[in-house]
Amino acid sequence: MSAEPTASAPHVPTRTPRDPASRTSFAQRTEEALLDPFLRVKLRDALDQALAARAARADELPQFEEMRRRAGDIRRHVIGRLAEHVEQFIETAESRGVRVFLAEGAASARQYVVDLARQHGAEHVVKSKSMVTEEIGLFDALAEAGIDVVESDLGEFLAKLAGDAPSHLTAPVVHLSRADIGHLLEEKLGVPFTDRPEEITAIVRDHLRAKFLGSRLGITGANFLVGETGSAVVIENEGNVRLTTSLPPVHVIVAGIERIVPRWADLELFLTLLAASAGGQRLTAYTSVFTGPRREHETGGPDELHIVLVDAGRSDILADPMLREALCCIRCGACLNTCPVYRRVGGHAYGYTYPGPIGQLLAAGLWDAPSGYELAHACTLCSACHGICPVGIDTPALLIQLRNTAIEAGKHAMLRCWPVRLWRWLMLHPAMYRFAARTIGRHGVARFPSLAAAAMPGWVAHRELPAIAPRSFGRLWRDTRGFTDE
Amino acid sequence: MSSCSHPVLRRLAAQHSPAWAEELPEPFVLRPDSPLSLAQLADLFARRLSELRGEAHYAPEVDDAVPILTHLVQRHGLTRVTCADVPWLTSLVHRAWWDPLTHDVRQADGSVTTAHVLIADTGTVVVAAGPMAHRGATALPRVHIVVAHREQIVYSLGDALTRIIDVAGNDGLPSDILFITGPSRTSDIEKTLVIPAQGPAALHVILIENG
Repeated sequence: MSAEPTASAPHVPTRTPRDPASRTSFAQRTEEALLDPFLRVKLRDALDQALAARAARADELPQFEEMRRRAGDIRRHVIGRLAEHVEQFIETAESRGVRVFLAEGAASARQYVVDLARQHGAEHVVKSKSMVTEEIGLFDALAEAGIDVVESDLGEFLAKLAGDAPSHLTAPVVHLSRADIGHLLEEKLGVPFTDRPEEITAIVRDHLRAKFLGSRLGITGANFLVGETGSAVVIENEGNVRLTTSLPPVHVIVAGIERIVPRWADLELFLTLLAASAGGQRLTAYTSVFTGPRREHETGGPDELHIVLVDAGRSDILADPMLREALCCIRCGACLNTCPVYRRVGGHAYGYTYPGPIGQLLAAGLWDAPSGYELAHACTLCSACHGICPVGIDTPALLIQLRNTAIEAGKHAMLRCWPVRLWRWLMLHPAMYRFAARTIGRHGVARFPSLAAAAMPGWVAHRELPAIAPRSFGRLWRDTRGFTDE
Repeated sequence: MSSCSHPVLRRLAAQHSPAWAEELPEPFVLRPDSPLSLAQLADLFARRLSELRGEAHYAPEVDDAVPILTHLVQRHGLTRVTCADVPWLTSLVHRAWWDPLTHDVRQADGSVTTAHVLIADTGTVVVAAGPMAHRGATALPRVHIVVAHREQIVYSLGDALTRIIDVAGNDGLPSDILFITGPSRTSDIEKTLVIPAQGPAALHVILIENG
């Protein structure tokens, strides 16, 4: 990577964020999240469990670190020559009878699925959890076309019922408590209140069963696409992917173009790492490997299998020599679980489909650069995400670069406000600086904090300015140097 | 699709990164410290499965599977059972189950299938699509019973992947290969484990040791 130029050309915003939340600023959304005293407790308890399970599974695998390195190397190889791998996958999948649609933008991906549903007279479709369908707004597009969409994953179902976007990559309703969910079901489904998870799950199970049976179209995402065999691999715990893909005569898989692993034999490494990193499982309860539509001699399964490969900004990310690394992500969500920022503000504050550290990188590439610049500062640079990432994405390093790009592009609001500009000017004019420092030192020490607060209200709202030292640094330097020299 | 001319592929090709696209590293293979015997593999499989709240049952001979099946049918109060269309399996089930079998997986509350391969290290049963069983047989009924032979157990996921591709060939994979690791579950609500979610509530694996 070192030979490549650093990104100096700012991104051209191609799309506005779909999520209404992002029309407010990140700071405003954070403020809201922090005002909810229960959110942090709910997040802490849930995320701690996920982290503990992940740590226990990692301890069980003596070669865990080597596995992470290898997985990172393989992913970087794939992303480094993505065109070849995508082409190979398309060729192989098509030879197995899959109809592949390579969608340049979110709109064409949505349209393809809507057309397909209409073509097959699907009045309602069942859908399993998939972040890329969230990203392209497929649910709303189908709903607007008058097609009833049923989310079949429990968490997604509850999120949609609450009118929320998922707030975590693998745990969509981590922001809701069992009581929140109980009230939600009482209100929306008209069932008696219960806050027992097993009863809630049973209610949703019964509610969804009928929907599976009559659907003509099933939609899923894919965790991995295997170049060598043209297979799409989908992991889950609930069995809803199975129900989504067993009965409807048409199955559509929507996946990002970067989801490719080259070889069949790579599945061991990636499935093991993904299950371990996401929730400490040896494997998730169901791992489905779909290769082509139902074959002639098979019973059950769809007559048609479509795979929609979504670019929608990924080739822009690929073109950015620093952000490119974000495409290696396998969406385990571990970086969210460990991030001190995510753990306090939750997923919705980020304002984009993908929250947390990885989301901060993807926001800059998939949506628009200015939002990415804003989110790039929502990081303490503690590197916990880098330490836990199964493919070793160095998110903090990329965020620092993103901050630099923002400054070069003049997109950093802080640096444009007059006190900072004044300070910059003073720093560039030593004589004036000394004069100003002397003046403040003599006359303004007591008044300086309130002066600074008036000048930069945002900056001092959550910070205390240190008192002005009676002796300036320049003075101190001269005095001390004089002392030590002799 | 004429993929070579697709604008997305052209854009991707323009971003080919030699620095990243070094030789593709070898696949990673997880191996046990020392090879395990068949009995050890079976024990490991049974232990892993029970950790996942599935149950393994040993049948020394094929015939011993019959009373186990009868017991499971009674214990779960099954009234409509569907069975994979494999002669030796249907004859077993007929001896354990006196009512006619159903072919409608939507109606069934119990399902009996074979397995393609079993994975000891993860407690996983692999079921592949074929003429024998409907895809929904592993998802719709409340209880899923797998009858398998001990020789079908391999150590790791990697071993299972190798066996599957060796049997099917690169271009002969069935449309659906399902790796089942325990009964259906969710932790979506406050990370509390709930069994079942949308799929089967119970998973039983009967391991036939001989024959």
